[in-house]
Amino acid sequence: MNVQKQLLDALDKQLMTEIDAQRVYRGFLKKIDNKEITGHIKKIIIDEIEHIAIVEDMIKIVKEYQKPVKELKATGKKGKELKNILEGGNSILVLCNIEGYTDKILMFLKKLTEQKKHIIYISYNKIPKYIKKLIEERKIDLGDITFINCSGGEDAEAINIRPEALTELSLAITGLADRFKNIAIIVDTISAFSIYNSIEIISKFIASISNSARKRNFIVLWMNNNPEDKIFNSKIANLCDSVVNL
Amino acid sequence: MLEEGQSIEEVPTLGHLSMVEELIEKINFGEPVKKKLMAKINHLKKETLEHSRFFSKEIIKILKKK
Repeated sequence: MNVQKQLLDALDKQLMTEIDAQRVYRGFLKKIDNKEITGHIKKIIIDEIEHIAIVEDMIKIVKEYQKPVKELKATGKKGKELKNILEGGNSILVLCNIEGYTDKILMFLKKLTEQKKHIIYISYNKIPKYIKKLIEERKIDLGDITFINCSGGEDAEAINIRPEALTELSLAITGLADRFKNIAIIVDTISAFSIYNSIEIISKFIASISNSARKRNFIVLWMNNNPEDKIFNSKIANLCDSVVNL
Repeated sequence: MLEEGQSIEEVPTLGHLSMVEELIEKINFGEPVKKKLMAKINHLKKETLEHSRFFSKEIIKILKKK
């Protein structure tokens, strides 16, 4: 597929996401009776309607662009960069701003599955169905990934664990490390742990999983989309083998 | 529901936006078209982040009440 078609395809997906979002939020209005929250959701719905128009306009601009479109050469830097990061030890803290966060996770997933690793994906405070859809879109085999869902909702295809139950989460991880050979763990996202747990409890959890990773030789990526929280990050960094800022 | 809202904003919305941005960067559209498209991307990003922050803040508020 040429790059202009790829862009139109990506814009179509963006359009569908915006349409779905406003539909889901309209559903929220029927179920939530807190006026402050519904007031804000109504504003978000108006934004989403505007977003639909913006994306439609972008599609129009790209379609109407008459000059021949040339693809700029890729440098191959990204692949090398990821490989270097993954060689930084067994326990790696990955700091990344929220804007490019999901994209970085997808790049790690692609790289790790290329390396024939079985992924344990811990979806903390977020519902796994959305990341699963993106994984499928990027043509990454979902069969290579086991999901642990630590959000409030149940996921029939995942291992469901309450976000505050870190002992249970730790047991599930070691159980999966015994079951699958050559695993890698992606924790999405370690910053959300502090909503439910104290920094002391989180530190113990990270230390325990990191030790297990070194002993059994698997990789754990502690993804964090809040690089600004210096105190939290420096405490966590001390427990990891390396820290990368993407 | 609030977790679902946060998931929608952070995962498919920002995920697709990154992909669109990367593809725009890859193509030599010429400066005026590129500028126009990037301005739209930046606007979408800014509001998506605001939505995500709203859902996240409400989750914390509810947990604190509990």
